[in-house]
Amino acid sequence: MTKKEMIKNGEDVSLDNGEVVVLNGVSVAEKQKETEKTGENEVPVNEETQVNQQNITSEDAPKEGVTVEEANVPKVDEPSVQMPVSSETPQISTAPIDLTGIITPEGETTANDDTIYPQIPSDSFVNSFNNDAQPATAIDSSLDNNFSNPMVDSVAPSYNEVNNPSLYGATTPDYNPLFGRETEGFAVANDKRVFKVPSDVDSSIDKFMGDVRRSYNENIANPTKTLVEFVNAFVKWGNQVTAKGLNRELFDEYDKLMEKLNDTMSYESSNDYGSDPLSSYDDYKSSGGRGMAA
Amino acid sequence: MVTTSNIGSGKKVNVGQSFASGMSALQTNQKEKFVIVDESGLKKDAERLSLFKLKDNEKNYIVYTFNEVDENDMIKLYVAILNDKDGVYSLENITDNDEWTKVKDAMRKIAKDGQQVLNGKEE
Repeated sequence: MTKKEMIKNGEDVSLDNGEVVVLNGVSVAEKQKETEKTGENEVPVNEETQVNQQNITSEDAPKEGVTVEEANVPKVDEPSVQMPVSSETPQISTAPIDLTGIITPEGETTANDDTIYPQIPSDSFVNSFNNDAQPATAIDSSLDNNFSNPMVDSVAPSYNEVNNPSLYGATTPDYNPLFGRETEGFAVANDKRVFKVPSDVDSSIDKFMGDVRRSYNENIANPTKTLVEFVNAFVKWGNQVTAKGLNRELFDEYDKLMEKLNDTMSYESSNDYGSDPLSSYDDYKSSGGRGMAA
Repeated sequence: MVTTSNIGSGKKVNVGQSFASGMSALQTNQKEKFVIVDESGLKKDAERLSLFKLKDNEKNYIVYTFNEVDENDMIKLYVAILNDKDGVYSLENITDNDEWTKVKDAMRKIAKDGQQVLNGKEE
C-alpha cells in the first residue's frame, strides 16, 4: 500500500524504517476532548435564549429540520407570534356608558313610570292600543269589506246595492246565503236571511211548541178528557138508574150518552192510536153491564 | 483545544512554502485548525501541519503555525511536545538539544516524503 493510499484511508504513515510515525488517528481539534477540558459543553445563556426565541417565533420554526423536498415547497407567510414585552396586563379603555333612562334609582320606579320603556312614547302606545281594541260595529264598512263577496273584492256595497241580488250572482235574494250574514242589521225587516236573531229563534220555538201543544190537546188530551167525562156521566147515569130505576128521563139521557159515545168513538177512529180507549166500554157493553137491568 | 504555558513559546522554525506543504502532505486531515489557550486564558487560532511520533522516545510532536510570514516570505513554524493526559492535550517545550535535533531530522524526512507524495513520486 502506498503512502497516498494510507493517508487516504486515515492510517498512520511510517517513515525512516519506523523511527518516525506520522499520526493520522489523532485530532487535536476533537470537539469532545475540547469540551471535556474546558466544560464549554454548556450552552451560553444568550445562545439558549436565542434558541427559545426561535421556537416561539413561527417564522423561524420551519427552518429546523428543513429537507431538500421541503425547501422546494412555496413558503407561506405565517403570522409571527409576538411575545408581550411587558408583563403588565394591557389596559383597555372604554368609553363611558350612559345608563340614563335605562336604570332608575331604586325605589322610584312605579308602574306608570314612563322610564320603564323609555323608547316607547306612552301616549302613542295607549292610543294605538285603544284603536286596536275598539270593537267593530255591524255597519262598519271595513268589516263589510272583510265579508264581502270575493268576486267584488274591496268594493263596499252601498245600502241600496246590498238589496240588489245581482251583485252577489243570484237571481233573487233568497238564493244569497251570505245575505243575512252580511247585512243583518237591515235585513231583519226583509226577513230573507239564513241566520236569525235570538228573538226570531224564540218566536219560532214558541210557534213550534204551540203547534205541539195544540196537536197534543186535539189528539191526546181532549179525547181522553171526553172519554173520562163520558165515563163519569155514564157512571152517574147508572147510579141514578140504580137509585131511581129506569124512567123516561134516564132513558132519554141514555140516548144522549150513546150519541156522545159515538162521537167520541168516531173521533178516536179517525186517529191512529194503537189502543182503543173505549175497549173497556165495549167489554162493559158485551157483558151487559149497562146498568139496564131490564 | 490545546493548552500551553505561553503562546508562542517553544521551538520556532522559519521554512519555505514547499517545506510547509510537504509537512502537511502526509496528514489525512491537512492543516487542521485548533485553538491554543495559555495560562492567562488567552486564545489563539492555530493550524496544524504535522503530528508525528518518534519511536526513540515514544513522544508525540506537533508542528503548527499561526500563518505568520517573515520579511523573507518564510513561514514561521512552531514545534512542541504534545502530551495527552485524560483526553486533554497540552503543549510542552522541547528543551533537550539532542531531542530537538532528532525532531528536526524527523521534520526534514516528513517534508521530503510529503513533497514526493504531492508530486506523485513517492518511493
